[in-house]
Amino acid sequence: MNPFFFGTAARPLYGVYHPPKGRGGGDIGVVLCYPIHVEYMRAHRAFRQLTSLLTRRGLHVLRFDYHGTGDSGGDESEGTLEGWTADVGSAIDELKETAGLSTVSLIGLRLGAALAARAVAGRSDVDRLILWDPVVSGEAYLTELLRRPPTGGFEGDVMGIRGYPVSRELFEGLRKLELGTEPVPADLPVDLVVPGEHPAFSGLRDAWSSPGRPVSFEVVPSDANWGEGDEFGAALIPQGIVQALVDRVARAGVS
Amino acid sequence: MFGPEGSLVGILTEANPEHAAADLPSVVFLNSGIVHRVGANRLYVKIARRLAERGFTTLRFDHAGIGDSGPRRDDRPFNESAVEEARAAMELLARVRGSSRFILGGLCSGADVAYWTALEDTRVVGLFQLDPFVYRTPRFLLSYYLPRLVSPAAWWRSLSSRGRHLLNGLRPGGAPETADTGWAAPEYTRIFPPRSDVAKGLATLAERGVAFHVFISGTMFEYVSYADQYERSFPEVDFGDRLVVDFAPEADHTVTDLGHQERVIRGIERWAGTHWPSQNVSP
Repeated sequence: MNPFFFGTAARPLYGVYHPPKGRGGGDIGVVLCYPIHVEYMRAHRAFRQLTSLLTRRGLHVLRFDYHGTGDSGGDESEGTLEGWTADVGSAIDELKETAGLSTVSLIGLRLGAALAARAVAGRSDVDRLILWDPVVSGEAYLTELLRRPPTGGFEGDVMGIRGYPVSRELFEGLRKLELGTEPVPADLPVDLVVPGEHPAFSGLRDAWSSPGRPVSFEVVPSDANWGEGDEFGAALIPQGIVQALVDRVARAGVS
Repeated sequence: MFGPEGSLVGILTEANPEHAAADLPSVVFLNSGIVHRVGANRLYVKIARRLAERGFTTLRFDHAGIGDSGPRRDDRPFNESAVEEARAAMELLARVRGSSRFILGGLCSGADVAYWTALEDTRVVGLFQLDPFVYRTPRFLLSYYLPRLVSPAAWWRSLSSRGRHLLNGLRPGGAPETADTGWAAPEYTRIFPPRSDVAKGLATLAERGVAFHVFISGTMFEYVSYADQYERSFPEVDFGDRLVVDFAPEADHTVTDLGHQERVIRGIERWAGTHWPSQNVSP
């Protein structure tokens, strides 16, 4: 593995490039898109494990932190959907250049799935979009975040939500987010891998399906709740879904 | 990447050259449980950047098997391997930045490792600990148990919660979905050592001139109930003017509230600035 910083001087992003450890992956590269804030903390270990399994199948992997999150530069309150979407684009470019690839796949979890979906607009160098338990409605996501514990509302331009400062710009961006309306390229294969049946997931599948592009839909039952608070910072690793994601990407490489 | 097996990953935040001084200690952050080096609620990042702005070089790293660091190949217990790795972080800073003195800090198990490492390595001159080992005092026992002895509701809650706990323990079920079968994470069950052992250790550190900053959250309510309990629980330790205790019963363990986060950061900044003044910066 190779930890490094990329991006610009004003927006340095922390990333870890993992070269393939096994054979059979062809020239497949995968950019992993984390969720944010408390969900990022709970998912970090699962992403390490997902990375390990993908590289053993012979794939190139890049994990990275968005601006104002994890080890990347910037303050948490500077996070915006537009900025983070651009960060996914930077990560795509970085992995292509580092691994010498012409295209890459994206796997995004929760809000990371939404950012990945937004990032593919207008690009022709993404060959697969895999959405893992995606945030489909920003409004519903906010409702869930704000339910517990109660927040004190905005103080100035920032509201503390479960330990992290959220700006008005990010709050409004989330409130308006409807994943089904994002302009995903019509010929891009899309996989939805979700922990259970939910109208939001099937609605997204229907919104994005077209005669030329069926959206693959797989339910891997799981009780995993990424947003659940844990005072002692427990990690969450839903083994079944992690394995399903690996199989899905690796299978695409063989076909 | 550094460490005994070259598999530890850390982020070094450079000191602001305007305020850096050659004799300022460098700061090493230690993982809290398996939370990786950014810290719960990204608190370690915030503290590190604020200290770096004041002239301190800081290093946040992951112990083996946590975050981005690879697992260990031996089976040394965590209380030994963690100290070895903390010292490896200090060696790294000594090598690449010429550091000869260190401040160690962390939350929960990070506080424990900071303490153990300080006992082993005389280059440690300061500890900041969030929810460290704490001990009850007679005054705590009176304030904690007396109201409950006279409250029927408290008795009922106590019995009920014990009953629920028992049921949970007996409930059958398969392996939890959260089971981590990917690779070995360090195992550490936090058990407070006997108070007399910790008192002896703290006395040794205090005699050496180590400065302490202790933050105690409301999560420790079963152990601490008043502001100067920490110092009073170690009457045989002469802390002199080198102990600062910030008792915040309204704060939670991972310091979720943004105001409490700022209180922690500002408290550590002020403490560090008092004991190791930076150039052109007031405490």
